[in-house]
Amino acid sequence: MSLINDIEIINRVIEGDKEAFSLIVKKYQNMVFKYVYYQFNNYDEALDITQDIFITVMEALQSFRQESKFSTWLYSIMVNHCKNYRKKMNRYSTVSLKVMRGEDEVDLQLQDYRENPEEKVVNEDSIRIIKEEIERLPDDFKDILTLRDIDGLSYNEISDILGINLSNVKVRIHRGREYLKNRLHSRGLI
Amino acid sequence: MTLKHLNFEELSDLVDNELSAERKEYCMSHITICKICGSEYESLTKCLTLLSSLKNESVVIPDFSERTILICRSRERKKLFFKSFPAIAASVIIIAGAGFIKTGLFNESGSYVAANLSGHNETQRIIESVSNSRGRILQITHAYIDSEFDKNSITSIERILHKNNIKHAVIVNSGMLVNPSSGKMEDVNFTNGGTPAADNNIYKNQNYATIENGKIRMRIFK
Repeated sequence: MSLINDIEIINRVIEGDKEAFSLIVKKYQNMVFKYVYYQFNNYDEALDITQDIFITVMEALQSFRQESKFSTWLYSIMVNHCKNYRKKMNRYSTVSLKVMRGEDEVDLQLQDYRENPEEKVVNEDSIRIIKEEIERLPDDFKDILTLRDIDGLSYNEISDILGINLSNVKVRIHRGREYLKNRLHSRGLI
Repeated sequence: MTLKHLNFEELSDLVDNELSAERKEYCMSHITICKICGSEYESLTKCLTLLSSLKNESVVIPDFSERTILICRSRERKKLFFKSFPAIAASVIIIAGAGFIKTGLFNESGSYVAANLSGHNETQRIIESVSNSRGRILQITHAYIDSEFDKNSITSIERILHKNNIKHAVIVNSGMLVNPSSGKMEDVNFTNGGTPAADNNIYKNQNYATIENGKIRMRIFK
């Protein structure tokens, strides 16, 4: 779906076709959920926060001035929502890799859809450790590494989303990566 | 080739392809011959590979679209209600006000005459007292009620009026009475009722007067 399509859908929603917003949700829900999930490392919490983010986006849609890409605007809301939530909950280090299924607590089921899994040998333990370490990162590093190294956004997009200049984006990315690399090294992962 | 190691920023920029072509070539050459920088570069790329592997991770999530639209619609309805609440309240006040004016709860000047309500209650009470004493009402004004009683009922009505602390005075033959407030004789200027009767009864000495056939007239003040 292109930028034009996003704008067309948004205009339809603003003109009263609320149902059209489901196309936006369907397109971005996976990306938003993952970002939130890596921020808090809690499946149920991430579900609630993702829902809140889409409600906020839909209600704020009138204020989207179409000066930037819709995805950038959506990312900004997402990042700020997570920051505010973190402040509200005053929580910085909760680790939960489990999800409730009825009364049982089970591991979150993940599937590997990479084209060449042999080239990137990532087992479940590695995934668990990297998630733990992301969750333990200082907030500034957590935001920026998720946007850059998981979601693959450009420096410019990150600059727009976080509202910081490009040089700051670079500095934070460098420091965040170094911090995370050292953490993973200390855990024997790399 | 210099042995000066690459700093982490350069390695990071190398991964992101943020270096100039010349610097990039230099760094690539350096990491192939410098074990320390090579190892550092390898660690960084492994770290980033682990991170990017999360992008392809498939997490089972519900569809948020339907619920989002439902919640937004519900919240919109609530907002509309609260927005229209002042208008609804204003309408109710206007309708109620118009109703009050029409029913006379407001006087012509528009001020609310709560006193009229209590006055109305008092008038009602006096009329009931007169009725209970088998009297009849001759005239009602905003200030008093003139009534007529059988002479045998005068004790009964006076007891009731005293009990309720209602000022009253019996109208004498000459059409005068003693105003209970001022204590002065006043001309009643009585117009309703017949010609004063000539026969006095037991109240003659007390300046009471019967009007006709043993009837007594009394002015009861509100």
